[in-house]
Amino acid sequence: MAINVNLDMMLVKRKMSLTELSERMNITMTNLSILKTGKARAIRFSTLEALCRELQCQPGDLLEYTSAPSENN
Amino acid sequence: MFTLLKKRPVRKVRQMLDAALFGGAAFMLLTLIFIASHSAGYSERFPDTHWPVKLMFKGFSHIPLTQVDIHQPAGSQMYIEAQPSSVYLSVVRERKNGILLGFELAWLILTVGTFFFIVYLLRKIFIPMDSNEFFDQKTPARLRMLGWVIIVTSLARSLVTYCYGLYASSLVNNIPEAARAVIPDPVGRPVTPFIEPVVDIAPFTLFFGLVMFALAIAFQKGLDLKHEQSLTV
Repeated sequence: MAINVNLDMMLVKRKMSLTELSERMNITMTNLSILKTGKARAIRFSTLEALCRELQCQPGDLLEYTSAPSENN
Repeated sequence: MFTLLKKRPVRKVRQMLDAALFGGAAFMLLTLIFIASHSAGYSERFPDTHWPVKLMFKGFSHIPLTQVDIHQPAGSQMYIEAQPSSVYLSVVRERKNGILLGFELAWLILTVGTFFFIVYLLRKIFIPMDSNEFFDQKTPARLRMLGWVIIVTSLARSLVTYCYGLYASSLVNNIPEAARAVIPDPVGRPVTPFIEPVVDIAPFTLFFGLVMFALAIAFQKGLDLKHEQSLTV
């Protein structure tokens, strides 16, 4: 998929672990892993809202468009 | 009954399939007993090397195979279609006829084998549904297989039926007319029966097979949607 999720980068910037984020967002680790590894096919606005709220960022900071499709496509 | 179905619909269907499986086994056993007793009866009637070729027509046996037409012996254009219940030919041949028996056996194996295989496939389809897994990975493939089994078996049965009729007609029609059974027509004139093989294709069965393919496509779409849903965060 040509949309990359920069969750790793934002977690490093905020010095937060995946477990902590999942607890704060009240979302399973499995779903966060799907998002982090780029396997996700879609993301709900509610999830995006929670991510932006907890990581204190904009959707554009998390999502990035690249013209070359990744291997997960 | 309604409450039971409402509570555990899939389990109920599985119980019904189990009952069908058991019923099928009983049916096969009864059929084999019937064939064995039938053959024994003929052997008693013809104890020497002469063995009857029993030609089973529509309405007489489990094989709806041949259409019996009665024509005027002089080649007249008059055409009389006999009532199945009024026509019965028993031709004594000089040797045992294993070919006709082989056709009957092939037909029986196709029928009984298909029945058991369909029940087996249906069970495989319903078992995942028992644990609320309606879109199992293998369900579309099983439905496609079910469709192929229904279509191929239907065509194979038609082929066996046609070959049986063809062979039976070659046996009966080559017998001199004088030696054949003479059955009076409705106005009492003697006529000579002969056999004409028919292509007995069941269109409804073929349609049912195609419905299975449509169901397989629907289940495949469901599986794809389920996959998409599982990757939606």
